[in-house]
Amino acid sequence: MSEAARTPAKLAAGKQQGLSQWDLMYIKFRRHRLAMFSGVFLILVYIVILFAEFFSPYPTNEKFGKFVHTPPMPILFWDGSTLSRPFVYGYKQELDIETFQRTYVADTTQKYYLKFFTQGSEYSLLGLVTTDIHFFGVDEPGLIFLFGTDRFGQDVFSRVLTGAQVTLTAGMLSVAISVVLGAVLGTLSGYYGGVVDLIVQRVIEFLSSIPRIPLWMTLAAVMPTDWSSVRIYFGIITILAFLGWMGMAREVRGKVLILRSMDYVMAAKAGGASSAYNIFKHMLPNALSHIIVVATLAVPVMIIVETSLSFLGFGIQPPMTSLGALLREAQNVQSVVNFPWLFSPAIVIIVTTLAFNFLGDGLRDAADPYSQ
Amino acid sequence: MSNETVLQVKELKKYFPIRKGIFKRTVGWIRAVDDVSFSVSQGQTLGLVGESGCGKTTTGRCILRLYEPTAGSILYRLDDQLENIVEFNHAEMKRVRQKLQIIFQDPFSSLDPRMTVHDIIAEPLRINRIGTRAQQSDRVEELLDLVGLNAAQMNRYPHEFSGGQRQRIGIARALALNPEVIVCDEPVSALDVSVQAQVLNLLMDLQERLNLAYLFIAHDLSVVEYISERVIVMYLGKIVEIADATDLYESPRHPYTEALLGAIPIPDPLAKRTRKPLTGTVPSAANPPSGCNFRTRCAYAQDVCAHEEPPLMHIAGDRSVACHFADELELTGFSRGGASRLPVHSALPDLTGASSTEGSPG
Amino acid sequence: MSTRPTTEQHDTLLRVRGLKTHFRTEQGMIRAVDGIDFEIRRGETFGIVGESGCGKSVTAYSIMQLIERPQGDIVSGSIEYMGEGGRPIEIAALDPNGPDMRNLRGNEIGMIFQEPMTSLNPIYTIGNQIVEAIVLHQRVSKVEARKRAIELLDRVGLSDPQNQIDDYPHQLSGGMRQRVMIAMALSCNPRLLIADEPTTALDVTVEAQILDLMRDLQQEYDMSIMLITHNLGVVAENCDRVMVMYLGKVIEEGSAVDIFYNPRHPYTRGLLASIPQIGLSSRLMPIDGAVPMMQDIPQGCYFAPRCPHVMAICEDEPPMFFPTNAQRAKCWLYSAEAPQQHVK
Repeated sequence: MSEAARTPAKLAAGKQQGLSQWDLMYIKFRRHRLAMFSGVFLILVYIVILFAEFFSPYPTNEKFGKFVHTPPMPILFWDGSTLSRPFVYGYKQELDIETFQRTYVADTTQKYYLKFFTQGSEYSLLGLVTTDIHFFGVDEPGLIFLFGTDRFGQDVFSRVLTGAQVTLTAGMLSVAISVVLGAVLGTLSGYYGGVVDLIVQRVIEFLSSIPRIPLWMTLAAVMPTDWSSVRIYFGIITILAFLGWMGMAREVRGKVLILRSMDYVMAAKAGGASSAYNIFKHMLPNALSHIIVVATLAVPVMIIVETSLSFLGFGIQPPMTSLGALLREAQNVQSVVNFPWLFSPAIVIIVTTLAFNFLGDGLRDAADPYSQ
Repeated sequence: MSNETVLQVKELKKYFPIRKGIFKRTVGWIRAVDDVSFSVSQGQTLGLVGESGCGKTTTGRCILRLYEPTAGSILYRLDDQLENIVEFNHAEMKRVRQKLQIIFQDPFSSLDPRMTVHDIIAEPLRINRIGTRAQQSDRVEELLDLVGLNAAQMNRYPHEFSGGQRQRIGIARALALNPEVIVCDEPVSALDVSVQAQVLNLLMDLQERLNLAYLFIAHDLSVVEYISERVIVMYLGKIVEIADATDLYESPRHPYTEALLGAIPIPDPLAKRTRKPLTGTVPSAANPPSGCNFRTRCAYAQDVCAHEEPPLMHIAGDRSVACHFADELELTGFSRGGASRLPVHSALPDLTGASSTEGSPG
Repeated sequence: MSTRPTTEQHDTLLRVRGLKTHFRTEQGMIRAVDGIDFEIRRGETFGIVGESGCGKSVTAYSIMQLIERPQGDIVSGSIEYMGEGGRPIEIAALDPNGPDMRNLRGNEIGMIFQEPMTSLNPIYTIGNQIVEAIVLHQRVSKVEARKRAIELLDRVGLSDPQNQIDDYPHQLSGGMRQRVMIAMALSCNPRLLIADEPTTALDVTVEAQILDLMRDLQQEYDMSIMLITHNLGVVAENCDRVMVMYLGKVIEEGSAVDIFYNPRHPYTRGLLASIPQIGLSSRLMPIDGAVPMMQDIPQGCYFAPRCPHVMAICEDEPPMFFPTNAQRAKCWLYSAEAPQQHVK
């Protein structure tokens, strides 16, 4: 047939040849500038928080008693007369006669140059290597507080990094667990239908009907107080995942219901394929793009929930810290007015949640590469 | 062409439950297929026509046990004897499925978008562990050639092919295991007119070369007439008439067949015919009328039709009809309305003679 | 089949000249309709035939100004509608969302679609939807509009219009929904009814009912019908004149009898040879190949790669119309020089 004979030439002339579905999705995703940018941004954020100890100049709990509530130090390149490599000024304390409050003003006589890969306090990187190299710092006796300090004189920047490490990984891990739970239950429910479907759906409806915040608080409060903070961390992740899989399961079930009646699944069945073959070869791979989208959009929700729990005091306990726990410091009006830098954890939350949502939007458009 | 029966369907029933409420209680049954029997001979095409919801697709899927039949038996010829495959387990079914394949209607949903053409066509071989990878690839090439596609395209993905080409890929997949019977479920109804003819011709050529039997399910009566030797007409889950194609189209014995034939639009502007259009619509299969299913729309219905269900009865020749008055009614068959055949089927005339008046209507 | 007087000026209801409707997509510009001319006369049924992607539906949407913007746009050309007062209305120049266009859409031109389920709003009763259409275009009260709606539903063949007017679309069968769509389209007595594949989604017996109904209503309401379909049987039975489209262009136009008995363009011939006809046992002669993707359209005659009569000139130069009487075909075979062309 000449249709066949002509086609290779025709396809060779076309732009899309031999492109798999993933290739098409990537092409479509790349056109989504904001999502692309958010994706890159989030990768960078996660690299930084994974190596939080390396990127933070000071240990989380190191207190600089003489520097309580110092404002953020700007990194400068201009010392009033010449352009120089980046530096910060030291602070000197002054007492405000009228309010009797200590204020800090930049001391232009103390100029500390920013140094990279400096030696500082010892820590163990990811629990594997013990080292004392930090990404940046200033020479003694200078100090650098990029986001200022809190009421104990702890460096807010370092604390935000470790807090973000806890919050953002907790969000990610709890979504990962709920994806597994949701995908398994959703697939079973959608593929086998009948009694399995009935039970799974009713359980989901029951769990979804319980008011969320009180349930989370109860579950978090049930955790023994003598648990180590690491155990509490994993406890929180489990709680988040336990209550987060329902949406995922519904999503997967819906997708499986559609895929189950697709003719290519029927064709495989007609060729002698087993249920397992169909589930793993046809359904899950085709549902995967949708699972990824839903998971991406679930991460920011988990981040917010963890933050809320910790903010209310039911989540992460000291000495561990999280973004929510850090925000507790900024609970009162006084700090809002006088020490606005204590809100830097909130900015991190807002920026990462937005980035996740943009990324999810872009992925959602890309997940259906054949639509225009 | 041998007349040996390869597939026989006996009293096939498929009821789908209607479920309601949160506990999905069964409140009724949709009788999608209700007591259907027929047989398919080797190398033969049996057409199965009817309007949407008449159960033709369900019948096809039950034969492959893609749906489990509610009752009845499906006999398939294995080692020269007919065996009831309804009771077969998964392993035994695997053996049958190599001989019994299906082609789907929708060329878009029938191919997994993530797989290459090679993987799609090789899938039945992989599932049944036939041959080495290299042998499978050789077979794929052979099959692509057989259905008129270029083997060089086998590493491409379905979205790069047109509807007609995708349907050819689906046919190649169905042929991979050397089947004897193929259920063709509306294989051309999603295709454009010109491509539809290509696929129909391909199916006919393949049948001749491979001695295939087709159960050809379609709603287009002209397509069914073109490809089938025998034709079944279904209405509301039941067979109303089975006959050889020529007999059925020329002299229908069931009022529904007559109505269907009368409704076919004839591609001839000069065709004149009197139509007796059917009134009303198909009743629900969940709640079919008493007696004869068709009586609510039948122009010839009488009292007995409401009380007694007409059985599918063997009448003259090799045909069966389910109508109380099959012997009495004078039904009209398909007529082209007096007009002669269109000139396009004759040899192409001299196109360059711009003033030619060939084929002018008389 | 009517034998109406040929092209007289006053006889024309709609005249389309050089219409181009293009769409911007990620794959580039799609010339869905690319410079077509035709006219629809009063009282006739004008058929547009072609395979998917030939631009037949886009033509209808262009006339109704229902092109999805901003991706799509009427790039050039004129669509002249000869209204009651005799002064032609240039549809292409109207604001698609303006009052003039809205007025034209309901009152003068009605449209019915392929899928009657999606063109009715599932959350309103059919009565609501018809009444709204009437009230929108005519100065009548709701009570009066409802009375008229019941009359219309009765006319299009609903068995119990008094009660069925309060049904929701999902309570009706496909054929009944299409009848409701027709009632809606007729509610304001349009002069032109555009039917875009009105029976494609329906069963053959219901299709016959709907087409019969449309024929009767055409007489009664003295409308012109523009019937878009891919089914040549439907065209033959219903249309007075037919236009065949291929890849956004008109390739042949003529009376139904001419098109079926004396098709001139090789594509039209190919289409007719591709349809199985009951009682004719000869093998189908399909057109080779498939409709090319929009991005690989050839530069000469669009049909050249599939044409059995292709000549050297066909691959370089797009053909123009070579008219013979009222029938015209866009094919180099009918040029005076064709016999001297080297047939490949």
